[in-house]
Amino acid sequence: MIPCSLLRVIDSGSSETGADERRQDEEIQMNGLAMADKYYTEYGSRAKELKAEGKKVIGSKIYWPDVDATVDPVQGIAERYLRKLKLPTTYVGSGNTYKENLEARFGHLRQYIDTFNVNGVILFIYKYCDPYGFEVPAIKSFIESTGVPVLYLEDEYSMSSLARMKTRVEAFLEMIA
Amino acid sequence: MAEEKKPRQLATEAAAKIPRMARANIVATLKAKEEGKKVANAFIVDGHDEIMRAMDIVPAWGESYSGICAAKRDAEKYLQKAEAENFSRSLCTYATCSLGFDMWREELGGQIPPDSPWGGMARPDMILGSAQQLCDPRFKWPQATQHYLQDVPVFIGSMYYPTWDPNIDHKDQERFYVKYAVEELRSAVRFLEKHSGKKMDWDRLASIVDLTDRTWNLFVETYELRKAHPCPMDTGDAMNTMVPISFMLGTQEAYDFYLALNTELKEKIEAHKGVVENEKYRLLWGAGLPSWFALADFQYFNGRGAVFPVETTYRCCEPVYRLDLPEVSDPLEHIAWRWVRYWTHWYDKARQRPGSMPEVERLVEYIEDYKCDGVVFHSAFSCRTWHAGIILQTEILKKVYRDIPILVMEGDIVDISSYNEADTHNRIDAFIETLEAARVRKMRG
Repeated sequence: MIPCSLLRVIDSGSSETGADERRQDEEIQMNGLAMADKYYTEYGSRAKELKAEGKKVIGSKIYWPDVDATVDPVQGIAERYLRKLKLPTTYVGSGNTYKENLEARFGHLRQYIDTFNVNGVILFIYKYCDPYGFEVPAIKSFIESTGVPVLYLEDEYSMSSLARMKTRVEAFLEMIA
Repeated sequence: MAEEKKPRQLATEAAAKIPRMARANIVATLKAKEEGKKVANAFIVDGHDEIMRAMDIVPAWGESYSGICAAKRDAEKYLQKAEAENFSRSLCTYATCSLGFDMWREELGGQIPPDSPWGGMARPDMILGSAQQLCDPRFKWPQATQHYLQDVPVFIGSMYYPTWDPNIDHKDQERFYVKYAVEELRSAVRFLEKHSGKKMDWDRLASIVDLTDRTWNLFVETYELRKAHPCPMDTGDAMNTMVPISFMLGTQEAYDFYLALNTELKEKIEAHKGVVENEKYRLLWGAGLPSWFALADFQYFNGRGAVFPVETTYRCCEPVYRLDLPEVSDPLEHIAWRWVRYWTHWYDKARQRPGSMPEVERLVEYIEDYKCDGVVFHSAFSCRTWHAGIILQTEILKKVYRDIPILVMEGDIVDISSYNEADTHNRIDAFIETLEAARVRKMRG
């Protein structure tokens, strides 16, 4: 298994993951947890066959926020972990209304969709993962509100479902191609 | 349609009163609406009970309602509703059952869905979330609920406690955790004041905190009467008699309930009345929430001469005089110290036994004090937080203590599709044979 965030670095062939890295071709955004490398290879190759996908924007939310320079460095690190990283396990969000709260929790996804000209989002959730699992309806409707279609997949850490997953990804890619 | 189920035979008169009390808690949410009181979705064992009671906020316990739906074998319709909205079947079924019910009620414009067990629960005015004090779902469940009740404000607080590390003296850390917990509780009070329009009565809170302390003491003192031979009350009843300590904490009714139970158990002990006629095996319910739809399994154990005099489940308290709590004037600080020390008070004991851990020390303590011959765990597939550690506990228990017979049952708390009665009973039968073999070995010396 390799984290999605690292896959993006590998995929881009660069250690730079800056938000200004604008892509002009069609893109798929993959959200969720660490994925099996086998999945990534399969999705990627099939996507190229369909000419519907160029690059992936995956997991990079972990690496984009920097630690602010604070008088007490530990304070800066804590702020980054608890307020800047929008992880479902730790980030509560803010805002006076539900809409504002959603923006605080998922607003970065809208930014990625715009920045990378994303045409579709695959929301990949591992079975038994409560923190991500409970967010599915909210995150799915948030992304769909941007006009971008979402494919929600749930699977286990296993290769046995690969063919089934491939079929669903292919259908999704054909739908948005 | 709900599946028919045989009523459970109860060993204590106290446990027989519980359905009425649990139902009254559900009905109270509906009555609150008529009386103009505020209702808050709430979670047990999170330090908010006394705050809510002091502010006359009526708690709506999703965990309780899901358990009731499961016990009535009528949860499937709500689980399916949640699943249709893309909540995985693998998620906590307390949460998904409750979410399914909430969604349905919203679809009906706030009306209770037809044929809801015990008349259903009222729409909350606010949601008092419980962060990761016990589990991830209680952190995410309020957020997920708000997706369907978007006008309902959510507060998610948290109260942590020092992580167990045999090489670190937790006493140096406790005060930081207490400080953090007090701030979180203060934020909860501010949240409730804002959304209820009512100010906290701090004297009333102090009085309720004192009542809770006394209830904690009485609860454990009463449960310790179950050390008697024959055992006057077992875990099958305790899964009912947990209602006042879990869902009615900070009320006089909860205290009075345990006072009556205390008297009843003393009478049973005096009369040598046990749960089973010929008590052969004494068992510890080591960990795990029960399958609410299969509480009759406790009677199956009883029918084979086995009784559970003690359990860890829903015993989330300890007499406060055993916790060495510092004297503080702020009731919120007292709640915080009580919370932290409840978790850490097994740490010193665990440190004295190389390779042990607090959860295992607690098991050893109960095995010794209640003279148990074996330990039974229940692993619920939809509850990772607690149940994921069960295998580790069994291995460490055998390693640092002794090779005691252990049964790990598998199922779920709410989702009956996970349950196979014949298979469960076969496993219990095999375990009873293991207990008998161990008993014979012990008799032969």
